[in-house]
Amino acid sequence: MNSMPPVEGKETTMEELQDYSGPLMRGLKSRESLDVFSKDAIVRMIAGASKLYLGSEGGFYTVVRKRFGEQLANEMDREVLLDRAAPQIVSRLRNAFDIRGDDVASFLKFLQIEPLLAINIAEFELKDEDRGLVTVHRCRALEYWERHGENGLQKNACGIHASGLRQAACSFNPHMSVRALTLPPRHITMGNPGRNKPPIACQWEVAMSEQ
Amino acid sequence: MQELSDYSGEFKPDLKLEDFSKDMLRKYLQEVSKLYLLIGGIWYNHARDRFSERTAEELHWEFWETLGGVHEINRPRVALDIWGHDVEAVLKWVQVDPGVGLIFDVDCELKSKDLGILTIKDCNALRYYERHGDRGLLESACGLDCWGFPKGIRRFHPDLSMKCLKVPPRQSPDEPACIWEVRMDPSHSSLVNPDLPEYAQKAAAKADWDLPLR
Repeated sequence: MNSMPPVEGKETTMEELQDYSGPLMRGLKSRESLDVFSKDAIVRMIAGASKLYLGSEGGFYTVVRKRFGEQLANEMDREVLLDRAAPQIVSRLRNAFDIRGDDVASFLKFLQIEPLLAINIAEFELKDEDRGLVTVHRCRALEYWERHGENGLQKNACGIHASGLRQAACSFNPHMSVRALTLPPRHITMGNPGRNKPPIACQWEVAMSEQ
Repeated sequence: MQELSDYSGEFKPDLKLEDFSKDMLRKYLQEVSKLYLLIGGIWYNHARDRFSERTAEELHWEFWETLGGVHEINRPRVALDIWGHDVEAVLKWVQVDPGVGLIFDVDCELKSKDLGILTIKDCNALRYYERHGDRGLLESACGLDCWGFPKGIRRFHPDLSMKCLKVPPRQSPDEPACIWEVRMDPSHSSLVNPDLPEYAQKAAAKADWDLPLR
């Protein structure tokens, strides 16, 4: 009880844990000893934390809407996410991953690790030095809104997302622009799910404009 | 293939998280965890600016009741297969919870099978409140824990109790932020600790009121 997994000699690494179903390790510290877990376990933890982060974005909106109505909730959501949160999110993640460039490739790199995009199934293509394409095939948030018939919330959130992408691109380079090529709502054909692949959630073009 | 220690190199269209080193993934996990807490704090501040402290607090607590009390309890358990129903399982969950152990410096001591002590030695959120002299946010957030922790851990077992032994404010930065007793307590004794500040007693009393008795 209360011990770390065995360390076999100085140079060897600790035995990797695939989960935390075993006994409590009192010495487990997030800053120092999370590497007792396997990479796969840490990736699962990241997915869990990212889903909580997604929930935190929608959660407060929901309680404000319940009490004060959709219009005020939409307005506050925009102010919270775009004016107050987004600049911190962009700078924290760029620092953490050391993404320093100001070109389209650097922006695509940022989008790949942005937690709300990273938990979706998305494709990132660099068509050429000045043009990239982002296709979100499956979006967890959109699927939630579709399941719950939350059309107003979907419209508001996708609108904020579009503004957020433009704002983030601009913070990389004022000449970079983001244009939506496809946006929800989408028409999903009911029937054999194997035969009717659902349409993509959204698609974006990232481009460097003429300077 | 060489593991990436950051993403300063070239764009990889087929990037997977597994391409990064464990150390980078750990850093990323901590960043995501901080963003998770950050959003709630920003919303609280914005609601306080627009409405009042009291309304902001009501919204804040309502927000965390579901997100913290349900999802924050379940996600880490699912990720790491923590399915025990005892004090030990609660302490393990705390260590890997994005809202606690992944961003704060915690010590989880299992005194016996039915008793554990959680000490949050260093809390980024408390340091923020202290830096900004924001007593309102401190009392809202720390009171929220006095109410939310005991409710949340009932998801592990209906007889589990989490009583606060110490909360902020603190006299010196060397003091731990807060200390909690996690106990298997079939008698469901009161969570109110008369030694704590009034805000914490009120929050614990609210938890007493909300929780079912045996």
